Amino acid sequence: MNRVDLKVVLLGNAAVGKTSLVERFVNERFNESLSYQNTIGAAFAAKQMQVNGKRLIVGIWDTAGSEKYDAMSRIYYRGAKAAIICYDIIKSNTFQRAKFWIRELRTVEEGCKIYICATKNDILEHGAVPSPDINVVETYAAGIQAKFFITSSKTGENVAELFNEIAQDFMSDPNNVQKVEEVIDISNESKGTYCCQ
Amino acid sequence: MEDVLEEVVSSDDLKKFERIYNEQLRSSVITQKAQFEYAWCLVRSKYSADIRKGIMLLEDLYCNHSDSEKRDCLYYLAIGNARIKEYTKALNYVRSFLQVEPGNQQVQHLETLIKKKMEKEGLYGMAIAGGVIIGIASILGLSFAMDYQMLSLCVKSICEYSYEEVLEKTVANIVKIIRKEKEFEAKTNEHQSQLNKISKMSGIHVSYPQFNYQLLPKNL
Repeated sequence: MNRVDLKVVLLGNAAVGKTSLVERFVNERFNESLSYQNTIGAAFAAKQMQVNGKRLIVGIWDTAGSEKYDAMSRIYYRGAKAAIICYDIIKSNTFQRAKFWIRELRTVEEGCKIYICATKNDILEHGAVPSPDINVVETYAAGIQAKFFITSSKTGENVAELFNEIAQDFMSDPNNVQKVEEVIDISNESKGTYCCQ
Repeated sequence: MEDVLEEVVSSDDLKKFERIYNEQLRSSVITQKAQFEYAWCLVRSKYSADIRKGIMLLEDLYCNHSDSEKRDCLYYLAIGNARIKEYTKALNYVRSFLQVEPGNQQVQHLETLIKKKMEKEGLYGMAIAGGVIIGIASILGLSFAMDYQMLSLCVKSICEYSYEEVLEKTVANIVKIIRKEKEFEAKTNEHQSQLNKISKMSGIHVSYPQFNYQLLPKNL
């Protein structure tokens, strides 16, 4: 996969579940037995999606959450069309860090749409309480015109919905649709051009 | 883009982190962060001199760092070495990483990438040898049916182009040569069947001259 139509970046505190989210979306799996592994630098994954009958390749940059990688994450969010800002649904400090990234993106990458993602929703079943309160996050998201999703990579809840929404939003811009179509045209053309000269 | 071995740092980024590092170097207090970030840019440079410098900085960090930092250093040491084609070293770093953390997917992925790259280069050597042999065969044996251009292209490509280009061109040339050869074979068969017809009609045995590989020179 050489071309990427839509660049998505994941940002958020370490261990909130960015890599698990990508793993669930791209490979539709969740490995419970695997112990936590800090992502080093950034990892890349790509997946083909169908939106309104058009093929679209989504490239996802999964950044490292620990602060020592902040400078690197800044390199990876450049030119992203969408950012998924993750926080752990029961850890308010990770929500603070999410807000830090949002503020930064809003000033540096104006063309980047923001999607706030509360991860690990499945742990609420065991009696854990969201922090901050979901209403607070909803109000905050509405205030900055960001969409808000509550997901669980373990159960798969809302993960496909989140990425579908991102792809739909991207394709709702006619400029983007044109770009995708152009690319497809060229790649179709090149298929037919090998001949024995 | 997907390939961590192909990813190249932008010169702006490299300069930015170089400046920070050099400023600290002058004030003689270098933070691990600055050194790591600069090294991280260097190993992703397209110039091998930069990569080597990055490797040195990472080795230094590795020796003077806490264990958690060692992990990240190993990963980028493997990438840097693979990029300058020090595959044995690169794989050693990968293996020592996996000894500590066997399930790490980023590193497992890196290991497959390095192995793929090595395989590709093995194939690349064979492809050139194959191309030259077929090319020479074509000149000696089938000089009219095949063209001299093919061989000259092969040779030219070895001298003038970068490594990936050579592979690409050589493979393309071989494909072209094989196609020509097939065409030639088809023509030969056509001729042969015509000759067979003549043989049958006239009662005289006529055969089409076969290409004699024994005539190829022993040494190039």
